[in-house]
Amino acid sequence: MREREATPPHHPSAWGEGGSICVAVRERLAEHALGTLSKDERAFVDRHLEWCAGCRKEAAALDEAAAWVGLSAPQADPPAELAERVVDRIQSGAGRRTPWARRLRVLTVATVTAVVLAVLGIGWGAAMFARNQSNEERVASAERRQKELVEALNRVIGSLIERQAVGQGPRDLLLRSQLKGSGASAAGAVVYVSPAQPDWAVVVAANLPRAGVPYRVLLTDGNGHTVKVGTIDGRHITRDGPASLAQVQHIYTKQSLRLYDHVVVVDEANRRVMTGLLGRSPPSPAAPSF
Amino acid sequence: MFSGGGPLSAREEQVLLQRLLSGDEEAIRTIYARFGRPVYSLGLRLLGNAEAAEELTQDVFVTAWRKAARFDAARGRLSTWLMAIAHNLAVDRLRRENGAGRPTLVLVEELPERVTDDDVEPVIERDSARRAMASLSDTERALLVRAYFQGLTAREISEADGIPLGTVKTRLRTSLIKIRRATEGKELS
Repeated sequence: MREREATPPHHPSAWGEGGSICVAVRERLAEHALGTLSKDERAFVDRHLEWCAGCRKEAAALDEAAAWVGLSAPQADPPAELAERVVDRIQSGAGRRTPWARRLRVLTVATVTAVVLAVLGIGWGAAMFARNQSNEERVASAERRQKELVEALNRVIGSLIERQAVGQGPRDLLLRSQLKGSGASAAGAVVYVSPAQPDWAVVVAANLPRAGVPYRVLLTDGNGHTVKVGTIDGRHITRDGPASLAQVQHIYTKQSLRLYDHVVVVDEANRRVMTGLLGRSPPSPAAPSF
Repeated sequence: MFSGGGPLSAREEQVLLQRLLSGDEEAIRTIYARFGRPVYSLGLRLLGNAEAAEELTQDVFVTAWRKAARFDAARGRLSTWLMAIAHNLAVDRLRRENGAGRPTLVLVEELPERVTDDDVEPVIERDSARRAMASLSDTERALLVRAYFQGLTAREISEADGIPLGTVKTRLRTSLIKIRRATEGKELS
């Protein structure tokens, strides 16, 4: 039979019972106040403090001392608008509307889809390369694909907007980019940046040659940082051209996307096949301005 | 409603948190006005950049809102509670960003402090904090800095310095008690 391994002395289960637990807990209250206990130890101490008034009193004194240590850090003024963001986040979570929220322009699925399609700017007729199809077939195929794309876009954008409080705050941004590659390959991107909510990005890429799969769709900044929006593999690209289906890739993240300024599509050899600069979305006739 | 700029009583703090829980705008602004700056400054010191400090500050107040029902003014001050939330969230963030194990907390260079007429009271509070830290011996102060601002555990300090673990724990506790005595009667808020 295997010998049972000895319990490490610092593990809470080794701290004993009754009064010896208080001794063990009080040994750790300084570290508890300073935030350096392990997760297990912290949880055990917290449970003990729920019912032990004596230990709780000492913990309160040490916690207050630790707060003063924190206050000894050099003081700096936060940006003035940070207060508004705090108010907005809490009130959004509490289901309340802040006064300025009533004046917000509202993002709708149709609005964002319209922006993405405008950014994409692909002429569907010109995108078809099929040599064996008649003009009627090409036109029908293009119309069918455009319809499929709009439906796919609506689904993706609908799910992204549905996850967030609908609205747009003063520091929210809707950024767009149009990318062109060789041949008929093209892409359009929309990135929504909000200091108060998760950010998201939608990238639609079309007519990518099969030879370069899998493609990765990335956002990049000027310092070499990247975040992946999606991967386009061979399943999405038809074998014999007609033009490949446009692929909708998207990302929804608590990470801020504000510092990313380019959309890039790279092929399997990590070569850039398309790049586009992200810029502020201009007003469009079909949608409210941002 | 809340006693001007002076310290809040325990009852006022409890009422404030109850109103925060419901998303009351005045309560949010009152709490932020009192604690936004020290929370942001701690974030800046620990995380090393303004954007992260801004995100942390938002997260701290949102966490306070979410946990407002659990705050008990009889058990401790609102200031202590918020600074503990700030410190814990900063450490968690650094652990996530740097992988498992001790976070590498960033020590930001001393920032020049800009003093205006409106700032006199907060600067006095910081002066109290600095004087309290100055009342420690060099060894005690360094120990607290390594634990609080650099995230070293007592065990790590013990192993690094070749000092018995019990001695490190005792020194940490003694240092905090000295800070407590030096700041007795003063208010963080």
